[in-house]
This record gives sequence, C-alpha cells and structure tokens, in this order.
Amino acid sequence: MDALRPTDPSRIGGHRLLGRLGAGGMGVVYLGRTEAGAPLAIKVILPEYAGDEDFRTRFRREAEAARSVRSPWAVEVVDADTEAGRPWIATAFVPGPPLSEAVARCGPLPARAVRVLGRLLARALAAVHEAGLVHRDVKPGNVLLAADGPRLIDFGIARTGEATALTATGLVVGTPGFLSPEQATADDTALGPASDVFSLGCVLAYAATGRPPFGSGAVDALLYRTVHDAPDLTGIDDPALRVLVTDCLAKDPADRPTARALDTRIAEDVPGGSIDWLPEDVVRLVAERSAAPLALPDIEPTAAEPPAAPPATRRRVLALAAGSAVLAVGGGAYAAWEVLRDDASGGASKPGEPVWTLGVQADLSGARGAWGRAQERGVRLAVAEFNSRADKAFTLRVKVLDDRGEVARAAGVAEEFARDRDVLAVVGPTGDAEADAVLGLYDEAMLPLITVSSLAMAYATRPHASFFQAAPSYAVLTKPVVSRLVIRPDVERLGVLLDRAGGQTAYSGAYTTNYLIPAFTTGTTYPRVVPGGTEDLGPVVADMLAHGSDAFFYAGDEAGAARTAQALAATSFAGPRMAMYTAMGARFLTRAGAAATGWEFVAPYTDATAPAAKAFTAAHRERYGSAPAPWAAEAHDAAALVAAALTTAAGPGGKRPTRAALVARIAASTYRGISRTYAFDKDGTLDGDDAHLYRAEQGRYRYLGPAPELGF
Amino acid sequence: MGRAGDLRRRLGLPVLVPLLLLAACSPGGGTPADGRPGASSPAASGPAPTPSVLDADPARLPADRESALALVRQVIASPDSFGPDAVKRTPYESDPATWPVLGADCVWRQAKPPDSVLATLTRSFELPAAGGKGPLRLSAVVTVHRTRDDARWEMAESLEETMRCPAQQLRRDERISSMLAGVLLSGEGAQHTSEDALTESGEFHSTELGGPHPYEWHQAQTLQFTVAVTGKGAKGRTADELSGLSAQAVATMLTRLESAVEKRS
Repeated sequence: MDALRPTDPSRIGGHRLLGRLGAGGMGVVYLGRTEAGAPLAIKVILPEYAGDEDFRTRFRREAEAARSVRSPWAVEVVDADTEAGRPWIATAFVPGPPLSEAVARCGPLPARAVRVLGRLLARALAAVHEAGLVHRDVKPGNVLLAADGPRLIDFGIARTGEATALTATGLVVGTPGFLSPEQATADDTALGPASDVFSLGCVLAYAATGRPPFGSGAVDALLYRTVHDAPDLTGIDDPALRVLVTDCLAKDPADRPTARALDTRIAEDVPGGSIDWLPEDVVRLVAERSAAPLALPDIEPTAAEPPAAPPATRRRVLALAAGSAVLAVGGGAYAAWEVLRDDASGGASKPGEPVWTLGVQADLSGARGAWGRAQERGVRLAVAEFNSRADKAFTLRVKVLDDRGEVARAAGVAEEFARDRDVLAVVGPTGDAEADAVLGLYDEAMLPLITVSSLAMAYATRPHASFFQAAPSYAVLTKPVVSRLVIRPDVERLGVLLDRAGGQTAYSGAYTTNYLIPAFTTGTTYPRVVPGGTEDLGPVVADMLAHGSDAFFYAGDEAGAARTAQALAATSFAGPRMAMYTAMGARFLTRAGAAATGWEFVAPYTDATAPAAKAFTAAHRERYGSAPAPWAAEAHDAAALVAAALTTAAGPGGKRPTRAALVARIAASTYRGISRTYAFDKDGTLDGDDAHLYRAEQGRYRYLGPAPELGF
Repeated sequence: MGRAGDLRRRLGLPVLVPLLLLAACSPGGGTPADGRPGASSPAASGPAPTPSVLDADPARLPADRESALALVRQVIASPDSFGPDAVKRTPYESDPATWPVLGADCVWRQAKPPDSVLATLTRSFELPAAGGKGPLRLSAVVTVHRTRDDARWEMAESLEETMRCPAQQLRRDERISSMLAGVLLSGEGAQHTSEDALTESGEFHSTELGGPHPYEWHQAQTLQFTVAVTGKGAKGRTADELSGLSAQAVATMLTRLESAVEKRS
C-alpha cells in the first residue's frame, strides 16, 4: 500500500482513508475504514470522467445494480455516492490473496478444490446475473481467497446488459486469456451472462492446470485461439471436471450452462465458512494475508500507476487508430484493482508497449522461507522502481513461483519459467540443492538465472552458462575473517572450528580460511572438525585454546555456534571471535545468552541501517510496513541489474532481446547496487569480495559496515 | 603477529573447485536419495543433520569384532573392483590389529585403533606398468565402528588431516603435498550414495617412482561404516584415471555394504 499523497482527501463520504491501493486510468483506489472500523476499498473517479455525463449515468446504473448483488461469494458494495463531485463506490475490503497468486505460489489446485471453487463462483455469478449485470472480467485476479471462502470482486467494469452500446466503439474490456469468444471478437451485441460462464471455465482450467486454456503471449494470437481453437485442458485428469470445463468453454454462448445450472450440476459439497477444501499451503497463504491486511505485499504500485499514462481518452484514440479490437486491461474505470491483484496473468500495458516478465524462483514456504520472501520483496521493489522511470522502453512484471526449497518442486518451477516465453530472466533460487536441481534446465533454455543466496563454489551440474551468483561464494566470503581476526597485532594463531552441521557453507568458509592464513599471512591456524550435532563442544574448544589459538572462527549452524559461544565463555579466553552469517539469527542470541556478546559475523548481505540502503529501506517500509530483511537489498540489486542489462539489450526501441543475448549482456555488465558493485567472472561468479560485518551486542545484531578490503 | 604476507598471486581458491566436482560426480552405488531413516540412530547427542541413505536391518548389523571383520571381508574391494588389469600387491592385506594414524608431525604411522573400531582392514592393489605408464598403486580400506557417531568422527578427522597437514609423509620413501579435501553430505552437490563423502587430492612423490604424480583419497561414510580408496600415480598416470578408478571402487564397496546390511523386502 502506498501512503496518501498531499493532494489526496483524508476522508470520503465519512470514511477515513488510510492509503492508496493503486490507481488506474479512470480513478484511484483507496484503502479506507468505516466509522465502525471495517476496511473498505474505495474507488474514486477522476474529475475528467466525473464531468462526463454519459459516464456518470453509466456509473450510477452500475453502482445501483452492483448494490443489488446478494451473495456471500461476491464482494459486497457497502456504500456509494454517484452524485458527488467526484463519484465513488466502496466495497468491503477482502484481505486475501487473489487466485492467481495462490496458484502461482502453491501450484495448481486438486480437482476437488476446483469443483468447490467452481460451485461457489457459479453462485456468485448467478447473483451478479440475476441483478441484471454481466461481470465481463471474470479472471483469477478478480477472485480473492478469504478465510471463509472465495470472493468475486471488481464490478467496476461490469455493466448492465443494455449498456453495451457504450463500448460499441470496438473496445474490448477484460483480460486476454480469460475472455469469451464474443468478447474477443468485440461482438458486444452478443455479450450476455454466458460470456461470464466462458470466463469462469477459463478460470477453473487455470486453477486446475496453472495456465489459461488458450495459452498466453501475444494478445492477437491468444484471441484468435480463443475464437477458433479447442482449449488445452492437459492436466485435468478428473473426467467430471473436464466435461464441466469443456461445457463452459463452448464456442457458442447458447451451448454453455447458466451459472445457476452450474451450481446445481456440481455435486461437490460446499463446506460452510471454511476453506479447508483448499490445499494446506494455500490455506496458510490466506491465513497470513488475512492476519496482516495492511501489509498487502502483492501490490504493484508503479505498475498500477504508470507515470506516463496518457489520459484514457487518448488511449481510446490510440486503440482505435491502431485498428485494434483490443484495449487490454487499463481501459476500465477500475483497472487499478486488477493490476493490483493480478500477478501471474493479465497485465497493465499500453497497447504496443512491451511487457516482459522477471521471474522469481524462491523458497517462500520451506526451511529458508524468510530468505525467499525477503528476496521476493526486494525484486518487487526494484521492478516497481524501474517501472516508474519515465524513460523506460518496456514494462517489467514479476512472476513469483515458490519451490519450497524442495528439489523436485524446484525443477518444476524452472520448467515453468523456461516454458513461459515472456520470462526473460529469473532471480533465484534460494538454496544450493535447488540450484543443483535447476541449473541444467536454465542452461538448456539459456534463461538467465541470478541467485543471491546459493553461493557454492561449484555445482555438480555443468554446464551452467546462464547462471550468475550475485554475492561472493562461501569461500571468498571469509576473506574478511582473515583480515579481521589475523591481520592484527594480538593474534598469531587462529583456531578454526568446522562444524559439519553447517554443510557446504561451513566447509567452504572454514577450509578456505584455514588455507588462506598460512598462504597469505605470517599467522598460523589450529583447525578442528566436528560432526554435525556434536553436543559437547567443551573438549574441542579447550583443545583449540591449549594449542595457542588466540582468535576463534566458528563455521557451522546457529545451534552449534551457540554451544561454541557458551563453551568459549566458560574459559578465560578473551580474544576476538567470529562466525559466518549462517550462524547469525535469533536462535543464536537466545541460546547463547550473554555468551553471544562480542561475536562478529561476516555476511553477504547488507543491513537496513547501512547508509547505502537508506532509500531502499524507506521504500521497503512504505510498501511493506517493515524494514527489509536480509537478502532483500541483494535481490533488489539482482533485479535492477537485470533491468539495466535488459534496457541496454533492448535499445531505445524496446526490441525484445533473446534470452541468450540477455545472458551475454548480464555477463558483460557492471552494476552499482545497494549492497555492492556487481560484475561477473567468466564462470558467472561475482567478481569481487565485498562482504558485510555484524556484531552481537545486547541481545541484537549491530551492523558494523562493509568488510574492509584485504588486498589479495 | 599476524600480517598480510605473500601477495604474489590472488587466492588459490579455484584449486578447490575441481576437487568438489570430483566428489559430486562420483558414480553412484545406486542408492536412491529419498532420505530413508537409518536403522542406527546416532548414539551420542543432538540432531543428526544427515539422514541415512541406507535402510539397514538391525539384525544384519555386526555386533561384535568377529562379525564385523566378516562384514569387512564381504565389502572390501578385490582386484576386479579396479577393472580387469588390477592385481594384488604383496603384502595384500594389512594386520587387522592396526590402522594408520597421522601424527602431529604430519607423519603416518601404524597404530592400534581405538576401542570404538570393531574391525578395519586395508588391501593393496596395483595396475602394473604398461604401455610406457608406470605402476598405479591403489589401496582400499573398510572400517566398522561401534556407532554411527564414531564413524562420523572418523570423517571429521579425515577432513582435519589436510587442514593441519597439507603435506604428509606416507612412509619413509613416499610423501604427498599440496593436499586439498572436499566434502559433500548426502543431498549436497547431487551426492546421494553415502551420508558423507570426502575427496582429497594432491601430489605424490616417491623415491622409487619420482614425482610429482597425482594422488587421490576417496572416502565415504554410511551408518557406522567407512570405506576408502587411495590411488598413487606414476609416470603417465593422470588424475582423471586415478579419480575414476577410486570413485568406482568406493561405489562398488558401498553397493556391497548396502546389500550386506539393508532390509530385505
């Protein structure tokens, strides 16, 4: 959510405004509250339309009709003022993710969930149709998943059947991929409730397979397929569901069932007021979102608010001049809503303006979920920043897929990105195992893959020519350990404790540190290795001190670091002590207690308090209501460097580069980001060793700044 | 006082890379990576970070020194594990009452294994000199520990060895230098054949065979077992040749181990 601007009103119709949800060509959508405190989405029409009598008449009619829609599964219009200087309409605010996001993140829904969803949405549509309305834009982005069930939203561009003349200019309103054939051919006279049923069929196919049944890509081709081709229902194995969807997708509107008939035809029991028919991870996503309605992490503010957006009148002219039957989304009064809500499908682009997709493959819900979620936010902010630039030659959109840190799922995500021709680069994955599982797939597709947190020195998969590591490897990362712990007057010998619990990260860090010191300094080491999970580290620590260690480096996990800290605190050792970022977390602080104080950490990521991150931190706070977590800035940098490379590759004309050309461009680029300056060696590793230092103090981590250069 | 010393070249880090890849690319023993829980839980302490790759039948695990030695003989490599040209060396088998230990002075000596070792055996092989290539000497070691934790400590010590002694005296007339080791736990770097895999490589020097020639040490641990192979190069023998033979023999022994102790369906 964006903050209100100085020109925004603070109240509308007695409702207090809290912030901007977004803006489109014809109006602004605000988040507001009723006197009683209920959250609202309030759409306010721009003055230039408010003055248009035809528009006002239409708006009046729509608002009235929408208020008569009565269904628990359709969002409720709670208030409206069609006669105000700037007319507005308020609906209940539903703090849930759209279906598009749920499917993009958690994958296609099982057949039963699709049937239940189909039945509830059929009921919502039946209510809409019975109120004399045709929704005209039924799509995954307009289906929100709330904690008690789905909600069909956005009656903004719904209009009464008689009002079709208003669009007889040949404009198509709706979202390609979910349009009916009659919408696609702009045959508005034929547009009735059956059009919504066709779109519902598309939505159900999308929910069951993860893709629209007539594909995606170039709008013209897509509309052609909608009109002429059979739908692609591969992946819908449930025979009953397949028949149902096929019937909805009949080319002739007369052959489709009505929404009411669909409701009775789907035999699936509809659980009252719960969503336990949805997969567990979707339920979790809904719960998270419902619990924090104001965080709204999926808003695309700048995409929703193209700074150079021409007034809609001009837009119409453009669309007509181009002879196009299509004005994709953005032409409707409430385009903002769909842009806000829709991530994986549809989009808000001017006709002719290229829209390319930046993928994010991340562990959003697994062991490293916090890392992945921070990275997603960083990428979104970078893309928002890019899209707000006046001189951009193309628009970027973000497509996020959750691999949960699971190897099998990671491969599926990579395949999906490789298949989606609109995706030109991907930021991710989060962990090493996922990287090993996907490097071959990205390499085959020559699809640029930029990771910020999988920093192994080597991967089993070769070749991986399209792969870039936007942070120093686990090995290079420990150079500051040498400079900080050994190149100082009071240290002769570094004790290196490698705890196998830390996996490759710990091995690489400890082994390298141990190797570097005798090779590049006059100091020496005393190395020890312990199996993962070693409970009593006292004897090993004592042995290391007995052998003259006057500084201490631990490479392992948080639990082992805490045990080491305590073992060390129990001795008279007073020297400096360090560990890698993998041991740096809340658990280390709680488990080590007072023994945590004084430990220093080397990390690839910068901190929210770093001077270079000031603007980023402010933007993150504004959008997400909190300071950026570790890895957000690095993911931001990775996305920004892709956008920069893409800009160069596309040239001023915005010509779409091939993925391979983008790989070459990224490989050759130098980009100065928030966390560091990025350039790559010929094997795609970061050229440079900029790291960051932290220190545990008084139960928290203090950022010390960028690690000093060692000079070798 | 520590200070930055020799800055003649940049980091020697790239040297570590091929080593890791070797470990990652070791041919598999055919065990799927499904993380089945092992029959033997770690005796001591704490969460075991690596699930066992082998679902053992407790009844088939050796309980005493006699059954442990029998299992070792069942598992340990034979000449054919290294291909048709490999032959036994003399002496073929080590004294099972001893195993090699790397001293603080980086010199290897035979010593009595700790009580936690139920059985250990080393065998020696050779690919005889042929076609202008010198003799390639190989050895295989299988050790049965009392517990899985003891075996994991053996792996820890193996990794420690190259960290504290990048150069080592093998025997009076043989030494190795520039030693580097890489390790992969199960699931890391597509390594799924053992709970832990270690690869060392370096240079071999011998009074008899000259040098430097390539040197390799491959070791793997699953449950309370470790298996290992050493390859010492000679004139005309490449690191790839050593690595291939060593990895193949380790995989063979892991497969034999699996069929000797896994649950029979």
